[in-house]
Amino acid sequence: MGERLLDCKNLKVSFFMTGSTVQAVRDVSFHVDRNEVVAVVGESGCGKSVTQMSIMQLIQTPPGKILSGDVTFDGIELLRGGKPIADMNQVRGNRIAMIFQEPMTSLNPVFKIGNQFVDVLRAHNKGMSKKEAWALGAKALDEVGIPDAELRMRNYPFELSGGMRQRVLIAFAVACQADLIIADEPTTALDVTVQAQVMELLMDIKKKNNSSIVIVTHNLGLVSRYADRIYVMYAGQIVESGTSEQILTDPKHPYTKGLLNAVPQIQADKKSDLVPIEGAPPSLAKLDDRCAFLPRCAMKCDSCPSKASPVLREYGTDGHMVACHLFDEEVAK
Amino acid sequence: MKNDPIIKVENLKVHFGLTKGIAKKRIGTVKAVDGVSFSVERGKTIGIVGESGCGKTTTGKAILRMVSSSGGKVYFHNQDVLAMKRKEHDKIKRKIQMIFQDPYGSLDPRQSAFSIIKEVLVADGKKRTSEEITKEVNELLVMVGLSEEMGERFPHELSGGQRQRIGIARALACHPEVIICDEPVSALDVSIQAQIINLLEKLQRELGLTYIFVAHDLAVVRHIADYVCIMYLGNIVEMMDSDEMFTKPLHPYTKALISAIPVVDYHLEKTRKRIELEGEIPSPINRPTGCPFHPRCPYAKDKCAKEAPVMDTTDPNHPVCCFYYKDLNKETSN
Repeated sequence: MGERLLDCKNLKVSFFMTGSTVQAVRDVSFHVDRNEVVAVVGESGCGKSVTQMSIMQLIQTPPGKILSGDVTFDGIELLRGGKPIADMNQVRGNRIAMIFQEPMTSLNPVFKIGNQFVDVLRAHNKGMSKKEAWALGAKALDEVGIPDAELRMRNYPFELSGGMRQRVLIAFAVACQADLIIADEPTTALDVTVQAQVMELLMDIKKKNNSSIVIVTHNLGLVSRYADRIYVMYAGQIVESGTSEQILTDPKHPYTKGLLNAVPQIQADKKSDLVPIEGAPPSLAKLDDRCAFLPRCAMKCDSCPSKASPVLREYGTDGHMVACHLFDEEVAK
Repeated sequence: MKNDPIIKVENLKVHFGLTKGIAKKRIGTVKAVDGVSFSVERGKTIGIVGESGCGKTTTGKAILRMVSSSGGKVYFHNQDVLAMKRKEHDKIKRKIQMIFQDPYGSLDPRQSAFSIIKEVLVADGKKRTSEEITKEVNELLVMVGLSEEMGERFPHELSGGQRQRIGIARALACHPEVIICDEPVSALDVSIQAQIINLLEKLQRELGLTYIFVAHDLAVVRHIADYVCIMYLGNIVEMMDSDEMFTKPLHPYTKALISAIPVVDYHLEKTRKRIELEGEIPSPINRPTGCPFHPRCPYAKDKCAKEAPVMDTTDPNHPVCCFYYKDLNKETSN
């Protein structure tokens, strides 16, 4: 195991709406080691993005509020008991970079790429001249494989294609030499051949800068190709975690199993029916203290409805964690 | 089983003019679809696959006459749909329906699910009592796996999967023979995606529907389609049985597309070979000369830049649009 880069413990985030409280993140703990690719997998509304936004302290307050959680990044305490400790402006964008799904909305449409580079770099490096920042930006664009970097610096975001825009955002992270890149659905808006290029680029940068990457995605194929470890989220909780091999070849939680059965596989017998997970994810405003997956679970026992929500516990000794009552006995052994 | 194709598309072309200024001076043409031909038998599913901008959606819309085509023929039961007069077309257009990608954008937010379906149902002009209408709409709701009470809800009160079911029920209200599914599952979560795919397959078995399934997800298309067309920049580059798509791809673009898609199977993913494509899809405004794929093709030769290849139908079930595919596949099999 490598050096611990990011450690997040007992994170709870809720959104207080009129008449209801949406418990978006319910006691999530996870960590990222240096030089590691970690994937957070789940369906829409499972809290995977909110978790990452909370790490960056980008949750809009109100309505959102971080209720509890201790987050440490490379020895710096970011959050203690849900309260911000460090000056996030020193960390955000500089040491931890975030890449969003829709690259058009994360770039300012009325400024040239180059000027946005200058702003970002000068915000993080006091005393850097505009000229230096511009040159550094052009170098970063070149590094992420954008041809004619100097020319592109003078372009507006709308003049670039989706793949190019995503590369620009990666270039921001490269220019700041971020230690951790959080990529929230980085390739969902891109075509598959471009998706492959962007992901390869991220992996190259990870290798070159010795950084770590968190990929938030619903694409299990992407996870299988790139991730070292996986966290599976459902209804604001982590239901299973482990290495990619453990999760993808030997899933334990009924939700993970269901998810893997629901995806059409290219090598499977075509005539075999897909097995969907019946029903829909629960509303995060109407959760009780039982297992959130219970209404959709195909493997539930008679005793499940009477038990409290299962907690994430290690299954075996190799770091494979699962939160399900089915494994209560085996874990106790 | 009849072997007559229910839909036959011949050399379909959709070109959009590019104009500039107040005088609308013609400055160029976007060849969105440029000579596409395929046919589908009754009760079968044909998949049209490609990346964004390859013309797959436009092909679907041109069959429905939702965009005007610039050339070619679309036969529905051996009648040319594109050449029909408006009134003739009105008679048959209920027989070809469409399901859209974004189920929220394609449903009227001010109408309940019931009235969305009812509106389409009564548009055929047949006389019905209101009890008959209610009965028929409720039957449709049940057929797509919703309860009758769901009819009272408005689109914003439904989940993505439920909205897509309403979209399907609305298409079925016309008693169609052909449904063009334009990316019907790509906006849905994986667990819901499987529900909709299974529903579409069930309806096909029960009602004998024919699908033209437009999508970019190859695994989904392989699962649902019998036959697949791979499109690139307005042309079909390869057609094959869907079983052969992953086992016997011949065109270099198909190969690259398949290798670009990460597969879920962990061990397979770690061992399989990958071809990485350089660059992005060129704009259809400045189509490359010769073979449209040659600037990105790892195997391109001089001839590819000069001449456009034609469909090689040596194997009538598996035509390929490439000069050198035979040599390529010899090399790789050795």
